[in-house]
Amino acid sequence: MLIIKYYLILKLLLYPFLIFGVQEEAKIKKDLRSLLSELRCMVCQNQSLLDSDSDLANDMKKIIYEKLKEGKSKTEVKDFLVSRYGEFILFKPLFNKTNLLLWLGPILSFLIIGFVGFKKTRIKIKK
Amino acid sequence: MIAEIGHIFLIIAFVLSLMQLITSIKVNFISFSELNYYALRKTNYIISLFLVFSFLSLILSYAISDFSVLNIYNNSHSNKPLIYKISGTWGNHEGSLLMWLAILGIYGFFLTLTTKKNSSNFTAKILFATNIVNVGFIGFTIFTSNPFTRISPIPSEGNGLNPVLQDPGLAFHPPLLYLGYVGLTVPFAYSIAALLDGKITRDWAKDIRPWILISWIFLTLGISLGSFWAYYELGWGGWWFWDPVENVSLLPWLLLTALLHSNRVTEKRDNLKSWTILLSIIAFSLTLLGTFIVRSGLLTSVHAFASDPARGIYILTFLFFITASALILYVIRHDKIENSEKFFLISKEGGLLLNNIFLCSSAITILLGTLWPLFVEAITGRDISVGAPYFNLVFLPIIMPAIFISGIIININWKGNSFELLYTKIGKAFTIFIFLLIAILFVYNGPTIFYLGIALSVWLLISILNDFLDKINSKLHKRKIKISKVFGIPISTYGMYVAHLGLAIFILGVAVSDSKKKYFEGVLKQGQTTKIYKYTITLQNVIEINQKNWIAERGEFLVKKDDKKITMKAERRIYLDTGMPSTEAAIYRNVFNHLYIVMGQQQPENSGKRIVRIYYNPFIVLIWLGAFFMAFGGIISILDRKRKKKYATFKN
Amino acid sequence: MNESKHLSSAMLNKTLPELNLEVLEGDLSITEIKGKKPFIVNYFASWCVPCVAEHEVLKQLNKDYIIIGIGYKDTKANIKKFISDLGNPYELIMMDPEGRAAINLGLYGVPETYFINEKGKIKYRQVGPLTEEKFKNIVYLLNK
Repeated sequence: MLIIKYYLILKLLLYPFLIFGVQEEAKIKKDLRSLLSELRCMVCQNQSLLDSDSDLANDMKKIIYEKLKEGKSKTEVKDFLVSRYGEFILFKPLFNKTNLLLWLGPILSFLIIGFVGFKKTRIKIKK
Repeated sequence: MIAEIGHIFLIIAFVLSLMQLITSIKVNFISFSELNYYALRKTNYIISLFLVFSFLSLILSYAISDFSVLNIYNNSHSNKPLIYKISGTWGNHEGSLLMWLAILGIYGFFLTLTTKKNSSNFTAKILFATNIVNVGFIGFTIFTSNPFTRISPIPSEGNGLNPVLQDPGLAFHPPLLYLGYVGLTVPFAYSIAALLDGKITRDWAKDIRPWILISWIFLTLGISLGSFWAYYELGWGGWWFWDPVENVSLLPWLLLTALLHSNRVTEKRDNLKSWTILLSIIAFSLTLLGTFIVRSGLLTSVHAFASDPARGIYILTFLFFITASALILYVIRHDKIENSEKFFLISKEGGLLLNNIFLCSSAITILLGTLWPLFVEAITGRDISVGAPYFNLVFLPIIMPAIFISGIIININWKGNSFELLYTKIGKAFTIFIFLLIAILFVYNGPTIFYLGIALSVWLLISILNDFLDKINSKLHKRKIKISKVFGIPISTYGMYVAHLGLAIFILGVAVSDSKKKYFEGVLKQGQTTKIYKYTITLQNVIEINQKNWIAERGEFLVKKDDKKITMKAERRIYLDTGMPSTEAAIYRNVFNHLYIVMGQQQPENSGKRIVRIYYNPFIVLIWLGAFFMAFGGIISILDRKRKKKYATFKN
Repeated sequence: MNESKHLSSAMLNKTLPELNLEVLEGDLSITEIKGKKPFIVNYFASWCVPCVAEHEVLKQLNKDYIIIGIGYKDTKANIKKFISDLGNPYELIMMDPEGRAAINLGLYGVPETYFINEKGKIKYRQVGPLTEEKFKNIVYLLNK
């Protein structure tokens, strides 16, 4: 009985840390999933690491998990993979000079079509 | 022998199309003669028949496994079931092009039939445009992708069909998709004819509406069936992957949806004519771009282009020729396009204009993302990827406002509408919507995207209901519903309701399945159990299965929920003809929810431990159900027979 | 994957990363030759069918070049048998049983071969089996 009591007290005392550990693991799992969905399986056709169970994808998953566990951030892990496999591995292209039009294209096209569309239609506000 | 006949039919169709083109140029631009016009129409029927019969001969040659035909040798095998021999006809580049031609023939047939009553002058212009398309496509098939090419000596066995394609999905998905793509030829031809003619009337818009709807219905069904097929066949648990091949089918769908709406404005309000014309042209060009780029392998690998330069050059030339000449024609003639003077912002047409801007920029976004890796590689030589995370990030913010606005559009009237009127129409509905939203916020929790999806879905439902109630409300006695008014609402309005209801269902499916899905990935030994959502899943055993054309390992999973017990069977198949593996996911449906199990290989090898992936996808069925409702709404709209009356000619 | 597809390696012109792997055979030390002599790193496995054909080519080359072999996701016993059956073109054989170092190199699969110059930089990567013709091409490109 006494042992159980001590155990309960100990658990109570350690509670914040235990929760912390659980949350930590949950955060890693969450990061892992979101990271894997943004990375391309290099030996598949247009499949993310998350969806793939090819050998290489499984090895990569393991390594990514370990790096997150070591406390590396998502960006650091991505940088590492890009340095090894190139930008091809990123399903979400980097926001840089090369990809500027890719990222601004949607808003630009909306503005241009909107401007021309409204201008050409000679809209009246009131009757 | 059968293949020879098919080949001859195809060549005859080509020669006839060339003659048709010359005749139609003469009739349209040199001198009109009744006799020539008569011949033009009759010959169009004959071309249609030759194209269809040519395709049927290829199907027949596939059915009897005639391996003296290179295409059949490359893509078929004698041990396949008959259904896959037949559907294998269009499971490859050459065969699918011939199917494209057959469908072009079918559309050509009905187009010729329905234009009987139209003015011969105008119809001759339509036939001019369709025959350019005929010549281009038949020529492409004969000269670069001939499905009837022979090989000698005749091999005794074929190479087999990709296992992913040995599925009922192949029997329906490509034909539906192509029926959608090819249908766009008709609005395109009508637009070219209208530009040549120099006038675009409300009747013109009314005439092309059924054609736009038919294309849209087939494309909606084709894309959603393809998505369902990918869902159960690939074993990735998802239903849309933003794969280039998927994207190029979504592009024409988005533009076609915009076209459907702008055409409505042209018909009802004699406005947005340039939109209707340009969308017809560009949507058609994009189907060319999409199908051919995919078929030539340009998108999956840039270098496939080099492997068959003839195809790529032909494609680009044809695409460039069609698009450029259509656009030049538009530029020359666009001052002849006269829109009605009145166009008010706060009105149905104003909302539709705004929504078309959203739809078009969403299409441009997808086109940009799909082609971007090609640009980057061409310019910098580096390989980059543009995938789902990019598309989700940029596509959703463009399409979500459009969906919200469509709820408003449903409720407001044509012509001018003041803000006050707008408020009286939707003020109450909007208040109810806000309250419902807050209630949902308290009851369920989930990510922002979940709430946005639910909100849009609910908003659409409320909008439809609100408009319906408003329409059946007797204007004389306030707040009295008159049932007799239900029959007074045009059928096409009901079609619109059903289609938008479909959209609401679809969005609900997307939001819930994406945000509330549960996922397990791990290694299971025989007898080991895992838990996901409320299900307890045990890998009971793995057995081997031998079939005529494939062998498989089948994992049997015991699934328990409360007191219910079921067995689910997930397979890893190896197809004997190609030696290629394929996964068959086990799917258990519970109302709208799916439990989805994929069994992977052993990890490590020969350890008896299996990689298992399990997905619990709540509400996922609503995605395809919603798409089906959309298409069904389109069908209802076509059935609206009250379109006989002609519109008075609009004069400024 | 299409064999002829060109794969640009992100590791091109970068220094070969450290390979802290267990040595199976050979007494060559990478740290001693790296940055002094050019050499070739070849990833292979006993379970890999194209590796067998490639092995013949490697045996031709080992007269003129230093070749380091790395057994990918394989057991020592299997690699030993593979070598004793087919001959040993490698100055040094190391083991990468879980494919960790492979990912550090940006490997796609076996066989894969890296050409390292006398400065210790990766100058070329061959994905898929090496043939004599391909090898000649690579040497020509590297000497250009």
